[in-house]
Amino acid sequence: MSSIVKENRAILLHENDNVATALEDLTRHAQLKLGANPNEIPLLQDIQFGHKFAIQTIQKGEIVKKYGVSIGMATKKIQPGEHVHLHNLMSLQMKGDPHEGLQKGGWKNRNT
Amino acid sequence: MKGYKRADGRIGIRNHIEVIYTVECAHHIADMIARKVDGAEVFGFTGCYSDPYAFRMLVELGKHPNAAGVIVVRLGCESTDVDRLVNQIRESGKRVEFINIQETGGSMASIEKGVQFAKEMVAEAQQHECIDISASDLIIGVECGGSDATSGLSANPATGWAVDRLIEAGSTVIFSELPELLGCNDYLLERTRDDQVRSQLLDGLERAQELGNLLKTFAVSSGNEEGGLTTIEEKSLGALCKAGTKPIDGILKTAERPQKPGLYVLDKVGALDTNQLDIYEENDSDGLVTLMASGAQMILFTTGRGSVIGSVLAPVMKICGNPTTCKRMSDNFDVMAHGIIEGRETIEEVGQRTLDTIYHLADGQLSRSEMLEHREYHIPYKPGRACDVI
Repeated sequence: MSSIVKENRAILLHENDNVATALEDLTRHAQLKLGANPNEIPLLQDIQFGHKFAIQTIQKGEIVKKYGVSIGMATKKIQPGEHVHLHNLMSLQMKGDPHEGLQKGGWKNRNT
Repeated sequence: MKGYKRADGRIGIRNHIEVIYTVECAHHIADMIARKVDGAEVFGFTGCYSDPYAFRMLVELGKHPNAAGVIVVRLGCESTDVDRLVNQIRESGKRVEFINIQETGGSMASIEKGVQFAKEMVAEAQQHECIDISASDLIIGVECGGSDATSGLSANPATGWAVDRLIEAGSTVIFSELPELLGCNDYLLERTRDDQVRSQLLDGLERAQELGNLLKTFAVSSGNEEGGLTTIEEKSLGALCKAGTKPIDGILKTAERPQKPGLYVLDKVGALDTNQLDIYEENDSDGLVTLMASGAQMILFTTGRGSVIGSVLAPVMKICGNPTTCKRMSDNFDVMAHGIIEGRETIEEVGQRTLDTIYHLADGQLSRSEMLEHREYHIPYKPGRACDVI
C-alpha cells in the first residue's frame, strides 16, 4: 500500500500488482500503458469502471495481487487484458485446501 | 468547538431528548410524542422478549452524551425489564421519565403525558451550559457501506488521512467490522500497540474467519461485486484505508467504551455457537448503533455505490468517492472525494476537507443526513452471539 502509479484511465496501485483497476468504462481493444511496463496492454474485453484486468499472464493457482498484496487465487489461466472477477478469482479466506476449491471452480463469497 | 458536559462527565456534541420504545407495541406512541416536540428523537427495540444485546444497546444509547434527557415508553406487559433499563440509564445522572401505556390509560393519555415530559426536557436542555471543547474530547466512529472499487482509492484513504490527524490531535477513533478486515491480518497485527492488543485482535480475526466459514458467507454483497470487488480480501484492503495508519491502542467488546484517547477496533463477533448463528451485522444501521453504544459522538461513513442512512443522536457524515454516485446522489454527501479518481485532487486535499467538515459538524453544523431527517436506528435480536455483553 505504498506508491501509487497513476495513469489516465486505469490505476496500478502497487508495482508488484498483476491487476489494474479501470478508472472509467473501458472498451475492448483499448491500449493501456501501466506502471513500469513499457508495452501497452490491449484489453481483450470491455472493462467496467471499478473492475480489474490482468496486466500480465496469471497462471491457474497463482496469487492475484492488488495494493501489493494477495486478494486471492486465480481459478483459471488469465491473459493480459482480461477481466479479473468472480469467474476467475477466488478468496483464500475459506478454510481447507485451496486446490480443492480450485477444482470446484473456486470458492464463492456468498452462499446465496 | 462548543459541546455539552453531562452529569457523568461525558461530552456531547448534540443536545437531544430521546424517546425510547421498549417494544413495537409502544412504537407509534413514541413516534407521536417525538413528532409533536422539536428536539425529541425516537428509537427503540421491537421485540417483546428480552435480549441481552438489545437491552445493553438501549442502556448505552440512553446514557449517550448527545442526549440531555430520556423518556422510556413501554406497553406494560413486555418481557424486557424496563425498570432495570430506566435505573441503568439514570446512572448517567440525566433526567429519565417513563410511561407505561397500560397504566397511563391508552394512546391519547400516554401521548399527552409524553409530550408534557418532552417539552419540559427540551426547555431544560436549552438551559444546559455550553462549554468549549477540543479535538481531545471527540470520539469518532468510522464505518463504510455500499463499497465499490473506488472506496479503497478515494473516500477511504481521504478519511484515513483525517483519522490520522484526529489521533495526532488527541481524539478517540473507533473502527469495527472485523469480518470486513479479513485478509489484512498481517498488516493489522503489525500495527497493534502491544502484545495484549495483538493477541486480542488476532483472536477476533480468527473468530471472524471461523464465522465466515460456518456461515459459508463473507461480507461481500452483490452490490460490492457489481462495483468491481471480487473477494473479501480485496474489500478488506480498501476498507482498512479508512482507519488511517496509526497504532491500534485497544480492542473493545460490544458496548464497551474506550477509557483513553487513541485508535480502537470494536470486536462484535462474539463467541461462536453453531446452534445460534446469525449474520454478524444485519445491515449498516446495526453497525452505526454499536458504534454509538461504544460512545461515538459522530460517525464517518464512507461509500462508493451510495448510502443515505443517518442518525440524529450521533450525526453521520458521508464521504463518497465515486464520480457517478457523487453526481447522482449529491444531496446525501458531506464530502465529495471523487476528485481523487478524476485526478483533480490529492488524498491530502480531500482529507483536509474531511477533517474541516468533522470539526464543523462537531461544532453543531448539521450533517446532510441530519438535514434530510434520516434516522435509521436498527437494534435486532442477537441471540447467543455478538452479545457477550455484561
